[in-house]
Amino acid sequence: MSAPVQEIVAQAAQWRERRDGNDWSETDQAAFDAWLNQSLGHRVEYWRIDAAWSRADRLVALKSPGVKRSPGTFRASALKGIAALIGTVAIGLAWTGYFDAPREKIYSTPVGGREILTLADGSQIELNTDTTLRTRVDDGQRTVFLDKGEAFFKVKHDAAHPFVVTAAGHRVVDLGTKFVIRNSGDRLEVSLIEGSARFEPLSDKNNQQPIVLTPGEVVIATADTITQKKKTEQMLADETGWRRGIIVLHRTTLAEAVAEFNRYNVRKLVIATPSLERTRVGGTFPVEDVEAFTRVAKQVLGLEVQEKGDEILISR
Amino acid sequence: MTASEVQAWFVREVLPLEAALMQFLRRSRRNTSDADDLRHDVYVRVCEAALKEIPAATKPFVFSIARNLVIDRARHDQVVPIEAVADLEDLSVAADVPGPDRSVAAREELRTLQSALDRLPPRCREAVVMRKIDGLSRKEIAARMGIAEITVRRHISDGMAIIADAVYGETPNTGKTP
Repeated sequence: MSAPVQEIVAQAAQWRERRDGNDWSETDQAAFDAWLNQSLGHRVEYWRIDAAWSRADRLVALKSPGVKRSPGTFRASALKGIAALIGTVAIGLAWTGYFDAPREKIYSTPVGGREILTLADGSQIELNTDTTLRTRVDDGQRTVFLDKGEAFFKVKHDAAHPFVVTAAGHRVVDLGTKFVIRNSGDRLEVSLIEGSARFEPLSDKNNQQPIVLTPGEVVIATADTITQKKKTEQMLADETGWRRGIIVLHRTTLAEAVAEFNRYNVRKLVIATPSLERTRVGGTFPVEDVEAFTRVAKQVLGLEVQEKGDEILISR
Repeated sequence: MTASEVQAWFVREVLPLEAALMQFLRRSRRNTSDADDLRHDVYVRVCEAALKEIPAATKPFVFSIARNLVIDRARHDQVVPIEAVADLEDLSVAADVPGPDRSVAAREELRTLQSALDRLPPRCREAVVMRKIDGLSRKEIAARMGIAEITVRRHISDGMAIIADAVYGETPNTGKTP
């Protein structure tokens, strides 16, 4: 006879609680896996507890804005950061420890480039094409300024040393997470892949409430609007295809497909026949393989492809 | 189906039915204390089936399993007449209450969570608030509350179980604030 349900629920909660700590070891993982595999009943109760506890992440919204960790110094440090940027670009060391003097480092990738940074705390940042970001540590806070482009963040959570990404007038505060941020200048998109994170404006002027994101949730901020969307795991996997060096098109309009290739390539695709913009295309392509894409345009869609200097014209 | 596919489906489509399911189970059994056991058994059977193939229509599937289990138990106990096992009409009304596809507005969600929080015993609530809202570590919570870390862990895991019952198992009050 298996354990009474209450007992299983209590065990599931104890496991879930243990996983929250930063002392979770491989031994713990093995013991946890063994427990999960013991019965489907264990698994099901764990799923339920885990889902409820993730929902409770939204309680963060109850945090009164008045007790934010010194927003004054945050703004001041952001300004200092810009000033410091000019002076410290050449410093080769960054993020060596939390308590070092503030120092800043700048990283950037060219069009078509991709780079993975591993920080001293174990967090990882993957920079996509044409991206610039700065990293900085002060007052025990880890800050990344995503000045332009797109990056994937896999953050080692540490409640005492928040990991904050600042971009286009907003910030994303990690609550134990993997997320992607894309800053296209006039549009900021934050997609949460795993764990949770808080999205909030840098200044309180619009009276915008913080939003706690859970997996699959996406926030899009423009100069005057904030919209929220839900994306499936598959959609997010497709959109982060760049991490594997690929572009995944799935009933994508030709206009969007072209824009996507142009992010990665110096030779730009141009749609010469406007009515083609809404034609749908599909397929998986290496990010730099514009030819593969134009071949499909020619052979499958029956379009004309013509090279003109640095441009590749697509027409009917 | 892989376990994680089933997990995603279970969280997305089955858990939101819990309030209606509990209502059904409590109504169908004289001894309401075993509603939790039944819920557990329903989930296990539902997920067993889903591991082979995710059912096309979640709600009818979950409730037919629940009904069969209730009938089995009633037969086994030979106490409750089978007619008392809640008729289907009853069930479809109950099953229609929350529905898996209801989109909970963020504010409403927050209210649900807040009332879950209010249901916790005071010390337990204090620990959960420090953990979830203030983002403090176990160690920090232990220091602030003047208790051992192991006790913090217990408060938090107890809190999790109560929160799960509150956010999934309770019938949401229909717009009326008490």
